[in-house]
Formats: sequence, C-alpha cells, structure tokens
Amino acid sequence: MKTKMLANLVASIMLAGYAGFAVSASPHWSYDEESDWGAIEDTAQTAVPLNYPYAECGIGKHQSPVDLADVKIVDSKLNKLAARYGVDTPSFFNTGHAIQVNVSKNFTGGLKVGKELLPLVQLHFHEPSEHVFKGKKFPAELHFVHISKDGRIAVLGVAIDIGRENAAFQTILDNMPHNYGEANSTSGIKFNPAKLLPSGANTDNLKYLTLAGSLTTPPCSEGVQWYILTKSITISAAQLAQMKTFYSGNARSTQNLNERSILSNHH
Amino acid sequence: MHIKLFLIAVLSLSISCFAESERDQPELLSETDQAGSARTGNEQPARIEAGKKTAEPQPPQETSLDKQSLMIDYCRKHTC
Repeated sequence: MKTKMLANLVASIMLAGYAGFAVSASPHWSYDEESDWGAIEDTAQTAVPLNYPYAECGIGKHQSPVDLADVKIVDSKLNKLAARYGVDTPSFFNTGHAIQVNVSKNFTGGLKVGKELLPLVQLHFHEPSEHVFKGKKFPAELHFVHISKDGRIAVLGVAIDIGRENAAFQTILDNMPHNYGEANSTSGIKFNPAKLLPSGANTDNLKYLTLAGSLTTPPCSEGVQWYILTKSITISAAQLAQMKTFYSGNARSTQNLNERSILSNHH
Repeated sequence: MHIKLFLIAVLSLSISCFAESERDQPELLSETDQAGSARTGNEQPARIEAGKKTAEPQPPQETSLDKQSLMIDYCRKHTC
C-alpha cells in the first residue's frame, strides 16, 4: 500500500512538473532581469520547486538561443523540411512581450518534418534577432511555433534583415493592437504565413540548421526542436522602426551550447 | 471449546492476511510500472530527435491530445 501511495505521489509530481508551465498562472518577468529569470519566485506556491517556475532558465543545459557560428555538421540523413502554410483569418495579439499572430483554430497548415505534419499555432517577432548567425545579430527574428499531436514543440526561426518592404509584415503591423494583452480577432483580415518565408526558397525542401533547445522566454522549457532557415527575409527600415514602437530589445541573450550539435541539411 | 473457537478465529485471520498480501503483490509491480510510464511520458515529449528519421514510441492518444491542447493554449496566450 505504501508503494502504491509512493508511486502515485511520484507520478503526480512528474505530471505536475511536465504540465506545470502550461497550466499555472505565471509570475511577471521582463527582459531587464533576464539573468535572474531562474530565481523569480511564484509567491502563490510554497513547495519547492513549484515556487521557482522559471528555474530551467537558470539551470537548463539545452537553452536557446545560441550562437550558430561554431558547430555545423552536415547530415544528409536529416528529415526533409517543408512549410505547408495557407491562407488564414488569424488573430493579431499583443502578448505583452512580443507582437504575435495566432492562427485560427481550424487552420490546417503546419511544418512537415519528414512525414509528420506539426500544426502551426502562432508566429511572433523578436527585436533584435535572438540567434546569432555567423557572428552577427540580425535586426529581428521571426519564430513560427508548431505543436505536434503529442505536445512536442518545433520552432522554425527566420532571420530578418533590412531591405525591401515586406507586405505580409505590414499587414501584421497595421492590425496589431498597441495595448498589452489585447487581441484583434475580429478584423477578418486574410493572412498567409507562407508570405513570411524567404522569397525564392523551396518551401518543399527548406535549407536549415537544427538543434535541440528551449523556449527563449520563461519558463524556458527544454525539449524544443529548432529549425533555423539559412536564408533571411527582409523588412524595410521604416517597418523595423514601426515594430519598435511595439517592442524593442525583446531578445534573450545567447546561451551556452553545452555539447549540443548543430546539424545542417545542406553544404 | 473456547480454545477451539479462538484457534479457528486466529487461523481465519492469518489466511485472510496472507491472501491480502498475495493480492497486493502484482498490484505493486503494476503500479511501479505505471510510475515508470509516467516518467517515460514525461521525458519522451521533451525531445524531437534532431530531425533524424527515427520512430519514437508514442504515449497514449488521450494523454497526447490533452498535452497538445495544454501546450496550444499556453502558446496562444504567451510568447512561447
């Protein structure tokens, strides 16, 4: 009987630990206190480790973002990556930390990794870029967030450079509410996330770097598979300035690679 | 007579306790397995093998869907 109780207790703790970040109310955090994210305390919780919901930000060993410059192993056995996005009527959401586009609940597009389609849930922007590309931070970075049927997260990252104006990005800027926590879900604006992919890229066989990482915002949960495109997209300088009226400096600094390999599917 | 009755009662109690402990035995094993499954279920979704063409064991469908909806809900409300 004691074994039964112990087993139940262990299982409960493990399940709570897994789902904890998804269900509990999150304490406030900001980019100014990035180095202390792991120590932010949830005063509503009294038990260790639940009272430190962002501990993984401080002690995790597979954290994101990283400097992509150093390690690159070409592996021809990597899965083919295809972006299968289409037209949607999304919601434009100001999260309080980034500008974000939530796809509608009946959107069927996603990222095809090998034979598995991971549904797209949302996309959002960071300024400047979070990952470092060949020693360089780009002016901004776009993250397409996908969640598989069994709850795994895969993020497609795209570097954003200054250049030609981007019509799809302008649609986002024009429909984004300025107040934190507000969503514009009734505009009925048609939007195709594929329009934010690099022009000329073969969306059926994207060139990418991949590594295991984490969410780049608290709770910094690990187990996120990153796919970073080798081609960037552009927005105009005016668009970057407009983006900064929403958020500026919403990028986490690079984290230690800690023996992780960065794989590439091309030479 | 009293002694006889007492001995029968003690014997019955012993048999009943023994049977109970026998019934508990396989349950403990299966529950230990369940704890093991919970642990596996906890770790498994934490990795999508770095794009490798490998098949991973899938957790039960109902749990997976719950997990997916929890994750989706979180990521729609937060910049995850």
